[in-house]
Amino acid sequence: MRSRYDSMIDRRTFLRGVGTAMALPMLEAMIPTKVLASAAAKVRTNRMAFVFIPNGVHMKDWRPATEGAFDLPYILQPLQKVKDSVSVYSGLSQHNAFALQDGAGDHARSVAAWLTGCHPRKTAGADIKNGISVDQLAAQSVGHYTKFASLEIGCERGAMAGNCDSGYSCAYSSSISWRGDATPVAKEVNPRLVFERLFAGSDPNETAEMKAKKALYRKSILDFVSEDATRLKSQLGMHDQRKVDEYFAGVREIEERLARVEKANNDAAALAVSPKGIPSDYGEHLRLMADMMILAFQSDLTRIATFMFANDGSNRPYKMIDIAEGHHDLSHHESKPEKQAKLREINHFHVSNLAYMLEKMQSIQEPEGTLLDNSMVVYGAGISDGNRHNHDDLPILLAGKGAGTIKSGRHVKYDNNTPMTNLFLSMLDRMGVNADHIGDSTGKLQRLI
Amino acid sequence: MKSSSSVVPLVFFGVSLTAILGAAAVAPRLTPGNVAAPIQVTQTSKSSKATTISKTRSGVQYAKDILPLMLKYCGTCHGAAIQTAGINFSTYKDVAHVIKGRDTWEKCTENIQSKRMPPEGAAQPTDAERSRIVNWVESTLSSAECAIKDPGRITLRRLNREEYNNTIRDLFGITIRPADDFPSDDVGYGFDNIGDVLSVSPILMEKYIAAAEKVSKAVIWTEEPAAPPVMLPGSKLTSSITQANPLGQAMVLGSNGDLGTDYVFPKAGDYIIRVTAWGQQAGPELAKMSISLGGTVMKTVDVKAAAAPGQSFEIRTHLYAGKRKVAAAFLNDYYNANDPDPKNRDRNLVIDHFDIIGPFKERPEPMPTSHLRVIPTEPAAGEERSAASKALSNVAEHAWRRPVKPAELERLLKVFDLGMAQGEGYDKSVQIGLQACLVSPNFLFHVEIDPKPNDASFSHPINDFELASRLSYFLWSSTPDEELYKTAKAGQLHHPNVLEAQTRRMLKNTRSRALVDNFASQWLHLRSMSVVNPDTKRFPDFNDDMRTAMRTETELFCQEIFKSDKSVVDFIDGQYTYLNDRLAKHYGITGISGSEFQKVALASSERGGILTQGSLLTVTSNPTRTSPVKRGKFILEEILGTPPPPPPPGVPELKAEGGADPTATLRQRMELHRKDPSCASCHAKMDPLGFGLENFDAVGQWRTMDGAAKVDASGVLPSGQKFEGPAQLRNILLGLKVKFVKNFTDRLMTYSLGRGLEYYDRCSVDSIVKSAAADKYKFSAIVLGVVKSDPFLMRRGDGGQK
Repeated sequence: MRSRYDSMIDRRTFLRGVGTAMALPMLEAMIPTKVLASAAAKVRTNRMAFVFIPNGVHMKDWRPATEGAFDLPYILQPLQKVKDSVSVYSGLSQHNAFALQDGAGDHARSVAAWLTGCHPRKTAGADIKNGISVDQLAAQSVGHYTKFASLEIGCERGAMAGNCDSGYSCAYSSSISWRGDATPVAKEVNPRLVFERLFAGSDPNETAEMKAKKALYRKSILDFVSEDATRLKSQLGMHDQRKVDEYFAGVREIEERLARVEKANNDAAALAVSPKGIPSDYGEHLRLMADMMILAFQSDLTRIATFMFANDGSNRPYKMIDIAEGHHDLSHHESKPEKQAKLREINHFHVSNLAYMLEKMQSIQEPEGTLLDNSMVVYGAGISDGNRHNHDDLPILLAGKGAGTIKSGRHVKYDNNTPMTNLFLSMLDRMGVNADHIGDSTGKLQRLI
Repeated sequence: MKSSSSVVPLVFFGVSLTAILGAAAVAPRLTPGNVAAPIQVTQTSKSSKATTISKTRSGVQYAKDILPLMLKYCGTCHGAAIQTAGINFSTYKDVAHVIKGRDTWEKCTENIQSKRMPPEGAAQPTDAERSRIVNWVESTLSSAECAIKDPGRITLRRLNREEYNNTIRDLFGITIRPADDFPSDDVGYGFDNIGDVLSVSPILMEKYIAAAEKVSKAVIWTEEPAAPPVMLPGSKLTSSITQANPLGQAMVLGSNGDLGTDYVFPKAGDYIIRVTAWGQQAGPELAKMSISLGGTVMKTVDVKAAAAPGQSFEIRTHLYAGKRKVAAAFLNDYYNANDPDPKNRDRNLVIDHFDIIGPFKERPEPMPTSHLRVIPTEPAAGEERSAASKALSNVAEHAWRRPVKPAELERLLKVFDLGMAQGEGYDKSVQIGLQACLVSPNFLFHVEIDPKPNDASFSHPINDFELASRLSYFLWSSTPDEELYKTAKAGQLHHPNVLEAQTRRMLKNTRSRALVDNFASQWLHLRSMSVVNPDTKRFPDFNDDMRTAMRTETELFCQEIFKSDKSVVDFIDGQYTYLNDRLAKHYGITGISGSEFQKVALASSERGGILTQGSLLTVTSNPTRTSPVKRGKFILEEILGTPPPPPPPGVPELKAEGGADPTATLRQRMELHRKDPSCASCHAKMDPLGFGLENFDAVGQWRTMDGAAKVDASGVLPSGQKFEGPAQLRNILLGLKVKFVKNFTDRLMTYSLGRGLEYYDRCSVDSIVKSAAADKYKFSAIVLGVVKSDPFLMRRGDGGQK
């Protein structure tokens, strides 16, 4: 007997907000039987997601007027329907995103430090150094419960030319997720490719026998290349060896995944049809990527995700809300009311897409509560005021109830300069990850419950 | 412009197996002619050497002629008492200290030369004193750099997306561009081919495996069904008898009779019809079954299986499209109620399901070229392994850009063996071997081996195979072709005349278009054209056609300089460009018709060189307005190679200027902002250059009015040089052409190596620029300079301590 948890997505829910031009997945068939459910069946599944927005926000219209229960300020008004599941946390900061003698480059630093709490080494290329990010720390510890340890998505590719920000490599300014000091995790921006990745091996032309053979050949190929890499590594200097280590890490993860897929014997996605590609409408792109993330959570393909609405310093105009100026250009508002008015509209637009995501998560029932109830979605920026490029008192909210571990619907004020990493430590705890610190954390964040 | 015409068929070199194995066994790493004596570099000795050199310099001595000047003019703010910006000239006691502090001294000469320092109001050195300081510092640092002899090292770098696509194209002659689905490559030092920042994440590893499967299927033809198999459960089929009862998805035939359906075969071709069944066995015989097609019995079998999942039987036959009855029949029903064993009384046939597989692809005639390159002929039975050995060593040698070692080949053949053991047939098994080649780090990385990998003082020439790869990925963003590879294999490539001949040949080849697509398009920020978003209400002329046209103009302009071997100074003042009717109209140039791009001589002084092209003017603008700051910064960074100093720590909040007139022009507002001294230090350098281009709006259209205000395109550089408008700005830049060429060389060298340049590379850059001057800075002179430089020809071990 299938539980509701194991059953399917409501197709209409999924369709809402998705442009009709998209080829839609056949959702009835999409949801695999829950991967590895039995072992952990007693524990309520919890997920973590981190949603990044660029260039700071207009804080005046973000920060609720009162502590505790609050009225939604203008920027947060789209969250009306899920208000009870949202908490706004003021005062959280990323000290390591400040210059600290390194000069310009706040956009790149705000991205690199956002989930790591580390101060990225200023370099355009050689000897990149940052730190591990909270999502990857969780992925390395509890990622093996699901087919994919984590999911990294966004709506803007990394920069295509030039230096990214005042002497910082583009690796910093386009990645919030870091596997280790020197390895940013590439994000996927094409919903079709996210879909194909999630449901790889669901080729309808393949029989079970063909799939088994394919897995056998992949294993043999991975054995072959591992030996190649071992031999190669033994001949290399230290920096080169690091690159081969990255390669090994990739091989290992895929080997493990092959084993997991076999265990799961999951081919329920066989009839799924992929989205076509990147929609030209940015809002639609955001919503489609959100759909992919929700799909991955709902079918327990992963429990950890990062989602960059845009890269920091993004100078995209928002024509859909009649803003022709570039976002970054506007964020240097010089305290001019007309620029600030446009900024808050952009902030509002982003939040309305967040609302789409959260409402949809709220509509998905699980055995205990909804998908949103059983998630922790951090949403916010690495810069507070785009005009000042400051990284204290960041705009941060947390949606979801963390499987009953978070008291939501409140505005909590912390002392300014409270490390944002303290929040991460508390979240890791709720994911069942034992970590005593991350980046510049000083302890768990209090008053979450 | 990316056309398939650049696909030049590659012929797999007819190198015999023994030749390869022999070569590999004798000289696995270095070709015989290429083992030059390693050069020992003692880096710690560089200062003392340099000191000796500079003491004998033409009369000028540091302690007597330079240091006193520095202390006199600069010491008040940068001396023992006060150290503004942390600089104290009194600590630079001797030349060795100056060399150690090279970064500070370079910025210092830059400021002295441009007269930005000493600041206004302070005592000013004479022009002669200024040039004495500047010349001494430049020559001292430069000879110190040339004494270092460190070729540097490139961190093991993987192929980037473009390189991957081109390599597959040139290896196999197919154009499927599998890397378009890879995540974007991170950029460092302005380019996406920098070893230090190109990482391999698990998602990329997944893509590599998927791409290898895709490529191997596109290259090697194998017989596979063109459509997914169709499964027909027994319980859903029709029977000729009434004693047919469903059992799960199966159907039990209780008496003689058939079970089947009228099936529509969609296309002509070979089909397999497979029936899976078992018998509820009883009596002396096994259950007997026939398989028939269109009423004709094709096969009769004994069904041995006695329980689920049963046993499969298949027929394979060629069929035309159309409806035909597919059926299986039970032939020997048996019933004996008297048998003492109740289980042995009733024989029935249980048909679980039919699979209809097909139509199989027809073997093409002739076979695809890519297939024949890897598998020239199908081996006779029993000779598969030796044929595979030949095929896979040939593929791997080309994919890995070096000969394959016997042990490597043996391991590769094991992958092939697995396929054969699974009953896959020869072609499919080679296909699996090919996949292994393409996922191997030997394919995915530019592998270069140091004899002493962790000894930073040990420099050595790279071997000819490594050199061939460096050269072809530099000029073509792709793998070496047959001629280049053969030259390397013959151990000839490192000879300077051979290297030059190969370089010149490769520049002429259409594949060198990669220099436009990957080098110039990144250097000139052309790739950003695909994401700029000018406000179409303000600039109704801008749409996707215009976007493409602007990009094409600059690409063709670069192509002209590269392919026709023009002087790179044309980037600044080339009096020609490429336009079509649309873009010409946008520029206000008459007499151009048709959508084809054509070379146009520029008659007026408005336009000329890269800075006045629509692409560049657009990517350095904001969506609604021009940005003189961005344009100025672009000129400083990408043309002159002197990026503005970073803003001081803690940039103050930009407040709405209290006294500013709300109707003030952008220029007036910017000038106000520059009154703040902490902003002025950078903006005095950036903004005037950008103002010089104010006659071009945010989409590169000529204008004399900005809204209601007249455009003021005049500027004053920190040096006091004044100019008005783009033509005069161009002349100023032309006066700085050595600086430009130096920066161009720096950019090209960075791109060619895939690493950032270090202080020890400057000597090479300087000497390339010097010798290219004699050649009027022709493109080929700079390319050859790079290719023949130590950083390109050599490498050293890793420090290992970081």
